[in-house]
Amino acid sequence: MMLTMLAAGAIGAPTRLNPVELFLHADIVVQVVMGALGLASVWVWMIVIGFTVRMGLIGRRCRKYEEGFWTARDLDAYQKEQGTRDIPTARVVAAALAEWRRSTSGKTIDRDGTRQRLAAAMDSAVTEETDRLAARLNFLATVGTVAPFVGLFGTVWGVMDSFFRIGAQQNSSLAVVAPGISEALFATAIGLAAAIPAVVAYNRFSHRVNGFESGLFRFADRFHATLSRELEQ
Amino acid sequence: MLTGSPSDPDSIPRRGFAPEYAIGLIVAIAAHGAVIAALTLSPLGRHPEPPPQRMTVSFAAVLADQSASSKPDAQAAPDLAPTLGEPDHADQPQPVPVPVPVPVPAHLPVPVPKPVVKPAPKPKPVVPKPEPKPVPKPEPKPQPKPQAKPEPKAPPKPVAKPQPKPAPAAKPVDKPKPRIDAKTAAGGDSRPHPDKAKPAGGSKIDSNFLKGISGVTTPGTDKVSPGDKPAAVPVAALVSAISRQIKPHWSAPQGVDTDKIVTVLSWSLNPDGTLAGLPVVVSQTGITDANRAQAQIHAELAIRAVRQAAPFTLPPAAYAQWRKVTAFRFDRKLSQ
Repeated sequence: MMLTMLAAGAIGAPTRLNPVELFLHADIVVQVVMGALGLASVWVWMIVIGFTVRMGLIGRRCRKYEEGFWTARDLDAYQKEQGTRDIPTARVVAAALAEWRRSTSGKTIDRDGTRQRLAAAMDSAVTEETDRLAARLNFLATVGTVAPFVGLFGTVWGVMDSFFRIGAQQNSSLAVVAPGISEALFATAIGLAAAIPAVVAYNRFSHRVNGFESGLFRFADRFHATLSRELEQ
Repeated sequence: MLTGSPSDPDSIPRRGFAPEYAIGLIVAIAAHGAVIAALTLSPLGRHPEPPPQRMTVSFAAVLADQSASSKPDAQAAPDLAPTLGEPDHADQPQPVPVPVPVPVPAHLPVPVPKPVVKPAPKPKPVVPKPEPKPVPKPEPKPQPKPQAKPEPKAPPKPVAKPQPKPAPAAKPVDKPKPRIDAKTAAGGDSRPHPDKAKPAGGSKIDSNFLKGISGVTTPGTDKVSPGDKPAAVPVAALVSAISRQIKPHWSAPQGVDTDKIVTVLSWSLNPDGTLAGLPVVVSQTGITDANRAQAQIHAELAIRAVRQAAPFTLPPAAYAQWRKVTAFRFDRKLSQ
C-alpha cells in the first residue's frame, strides 16, 4: 500500500510547470484572482501598445502641423485644411482662434482682458489634450501598485487552502503540500508579471506625456505672443 | 467653449476607443495567448526530475539457501579397511588412508595395504616403505587407482570413518583435510590416498576384504563435500553489517509514541549489493491512535533509508544468505 501510494504520487505529480494545469487545479478564489490578473495584464499591454502607437502618430502629426502653421499665410484656411484631423496642436489653435473671434467681434476691444482670456483658453485646451493622452495611464499605475498585492492575496489564500488539505489528509509529506503551494505561488507570479511592465510603462509614458505637454505649452505661448502682438495693432 | 466653438475639430470621438488601442488590445491578447501556449507546449517548461522508472520485477528462482545435501550421483567413497600401525611419514598428507573405525590398540606393522597396491606400479609393494613412497607415488598412483578401486572397495565396516580417525595417532589431524579437498575437486571419482596409505600401516582385516566390494557403498560414506556452499557467514554478522550501513540514513519520525512503531521491511539484493526492486513493508506493529498518522511516514522513511543505504557492502561469498533480506526491523533502537 505504501508503494502504491508513493508510485501514485510520483506519477501524478506534474512533470513540468504548466500554467494551464496550475490554473485548473487551483482553488476557485485563486482562479478568480489569476483571471483578474490575467485580464489586467492583457489590458496593460493593450495600453502599452496602443499608447506607443498613438503617441508616435500624434507626435509626428503635431510636428508637421506646427511646421506648416508658422509658415501659413492664412491661419483660418490652414486651420480648415488641417483641423479635421486628430491633432492636439490644432485643437489648441482652434480654441485660441475661437476665443479671439469672440473677443474681437465687439465694437470695443478690451486688449488686456482678451489676452488673459486667450491664455486661459489655450491653457485649458493644452491640459485637456494632455489629460486625454494620459487618460489610460492611470490604469498602468493602478496595476503596477495593486497587482502584486492581489497576487499575494491569491497566494495566501492558496497556501491556506493547501494547509487545510494537509490537515484533512493527516499527511504532511511534501508530495501533498507542494502542488497546492505551487499553484498558490503562481498567483503571485502572475501579479508580478502584470505589475512589472505596468510600472515600467507608466514611468516611461508619463515622462513622454510631460514632454509632450511642455511642448504644447511652448507652442501655446508662442501663439499667444503672436496673437498679443496682433491685438496691439 | 461656452458657445460651442464652430471650428472645434470634434469630428474625432474624444471618449471613444481610439483605433490604436483596438490594435493594442488585439496584439496584447495574441501575445498573452502566445506566452501561455509557449509555456504549456514548448520545452520551456522545466523538467524538474525524470519520472521514476517502472520497477522491473525479476522472479528469483531461489529464495532459500542452496541445498546442502550431497550429490546423489556422486560416486561413493570406497570404504577402506582400517589401517593399523603408524605410517612412516606423519608429515605426508596423502599416504594415509587410515579410516579406522575400530580403536586400534597398538601399532602393528602389518603390511596390509598391499592388496590395494596391485593396480599400482610395482615399486610400492617393496617392503622399505619410507623411501619408495616419496619418489614413485606422486605420479603413477593417482591415475591407476581411480579405475580399479571404486569397484573393489566396499567393505561394510567403516560406518563413521571421519570421527574414529582421531583416535589412532597424530596422523589423523593431517589426513582428513587433504581428502576432502581432493575429492571435492575431483568429483569423488579418484581416490589417490588409499594407495599411498598401504605402506603406512597394517589392518586387522584380511587383505581380500580390503579391496572392497564392488558396486556397494556404505550409506554416509560419500566423501563428496556437500554442495558448493561456501563457508557460512554467521547471520548475526550479516544483520549487523546491514544495520550498520542503514543506520546513517535512518531516522525515525518525530511525534508522540513514534518510538513504539516498528516497521518490518523485506527487500532483495543483487550480487553487487544494489537493490533488486523496492523494499516492501512486511508488517508494522506498535501503531496506536496517537501515532497512526506517523506510521506511513515511518514506513516511508524506512524504505528511503534502505534505498539510500544501497548498494550494500556485504561479503560476496555469502550472497546466497543476503540475496533476500526477509525481515529487517526498523525501530527506535536502530536510530540510536
